[in-house]
Amino acid sequence: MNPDLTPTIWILLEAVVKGAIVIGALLTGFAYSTWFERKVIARMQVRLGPNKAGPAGLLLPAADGLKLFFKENIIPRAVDKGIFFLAPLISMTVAVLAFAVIPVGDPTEVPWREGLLQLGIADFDVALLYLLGVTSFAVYGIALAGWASNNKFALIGGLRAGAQMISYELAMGLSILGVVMIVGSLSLHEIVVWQKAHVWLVLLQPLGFVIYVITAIAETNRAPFDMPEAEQELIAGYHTEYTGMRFALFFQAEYIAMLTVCALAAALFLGGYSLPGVELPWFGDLAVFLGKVIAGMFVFVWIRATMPRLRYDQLMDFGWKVLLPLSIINVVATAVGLALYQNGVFG
Amino acid sequence: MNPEMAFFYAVALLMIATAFGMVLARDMVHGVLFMVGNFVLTAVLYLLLNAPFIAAVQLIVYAGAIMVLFLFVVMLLGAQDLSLSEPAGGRRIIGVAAVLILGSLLTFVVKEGLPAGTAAGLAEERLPTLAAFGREGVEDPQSGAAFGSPQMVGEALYREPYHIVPFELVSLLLLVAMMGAVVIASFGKGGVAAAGPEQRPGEDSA
Repeated sequence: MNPDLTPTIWILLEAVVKGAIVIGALLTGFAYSTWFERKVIARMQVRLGPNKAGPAGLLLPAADGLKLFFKENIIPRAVDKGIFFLAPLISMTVAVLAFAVIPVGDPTEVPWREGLLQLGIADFDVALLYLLGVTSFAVYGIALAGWASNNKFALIGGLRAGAQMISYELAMGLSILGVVMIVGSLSLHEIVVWQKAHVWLVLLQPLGFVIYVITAIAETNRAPFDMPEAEQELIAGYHTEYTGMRFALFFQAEYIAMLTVCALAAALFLGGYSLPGVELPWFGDLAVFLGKVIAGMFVFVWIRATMPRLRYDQLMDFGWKVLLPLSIINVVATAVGLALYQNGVFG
Repeated sequence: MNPEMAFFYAVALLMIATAFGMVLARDMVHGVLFMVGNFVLTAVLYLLLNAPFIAAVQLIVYAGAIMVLFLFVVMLLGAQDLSLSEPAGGRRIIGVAAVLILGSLLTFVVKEGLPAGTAAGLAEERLPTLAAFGREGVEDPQSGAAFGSPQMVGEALYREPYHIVPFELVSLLLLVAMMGAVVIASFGKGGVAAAGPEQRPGEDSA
């Protein structure tokens, strides 16, 4: 074998192993997000929630998984078969791919290689753009599922999801822009490092943070923005015709997307894996990161338990007439503030 | 053949395959999907050329946004059957001619380089030449930013007089086109003011 290639192969191997670990963690995270959501919602509604399968219902996700595995896989006659199979795969792939650039800890020394081991799969110049690019593909999975199902309700659900995701994507991208302008980098790791050295960006970008949180909920199609699957009017929206594991793929994609936007919120606005003023070892970083993601998931569930669903036209009005102008104002204000700061106006 | 070349040829072959798939697909939704695939592969090509920023923009703008609108139009109009009923006629000849002209121009540029004195030629003189593409650590002599990085693309776009004027003109053109689309969409419904509740912005763009 060509000796020059050996380090490359090791790097590739390392990436594959890290990828496998992250995918495993995401699937576990998905399973326990469903448990967590049921448990928290139940408490908010003064119920007990899952408590039969295992202690505190902890085995419920496993039971759900088994059930979905053994469900009959129904393929309606009128569907476009190729795309019907493809759509859940797109959703799932996109959800997992997006997590690749999330920083989960400072690079750390390891015995088996020279240099530092990057926690998290990848970190590069345009990581944030990569993330936005990959997540903008999520709409294909949903819109195609709706179309391929050849069912009115599914199609309407798919189209609604598409229109909603495109509308809120704009405001989301602009809300993040303030962070990028302040830090001067699109690398998520550098954004976290900047916050470690200075201050959590939520303090400098409060409006950006609020817009990000709202658009993140809309992008993941969660309540109160869960129009695409509004059960009273659309049965189950785009995944009406999906059963068994194919349905489970959409389900997984939705929860993994939630985990991703929580992790991104942490990285962009809440100091990522760091705590102010404390230097932690790598497992400390990981724990802080996890804690922030869980806190984010709690907010998701909290909002779902509190807010009624919006009407579709309200949702569109809100996205285009409130969030988008606000995020543009935020960008302009940040630019002006930065220019003043760099010219020493604030001392 | 080194691994990079092998990868390039694999991507290029796939791109040609998806391009044919797009043109030949009977179902327009399939055609749109082939086109999305083609755009994603284009992004991979940009990555091979050490232009990660352009690759990301290609994904976000073309594959992620514009093609979604294509998909919407095709889905909403149910245009799947149009492709067979419309005769191609003289457009076939025009198409072949366009392919030949573009192909010969590209061949010329690749063989001869860009003509000196034009905006593109000047940019090429200042930037590392085509021969330096694909090398690690190529830096812009003036700003020191890594080749293909967001900083460098931004500097080239906004600080170069050759680029800033066309760039701003194009954005103006897009704005005019957008306003035109709004005007067209609201005619026949009593003008812009009466577009009201049944004409939501999100549906406009779809």
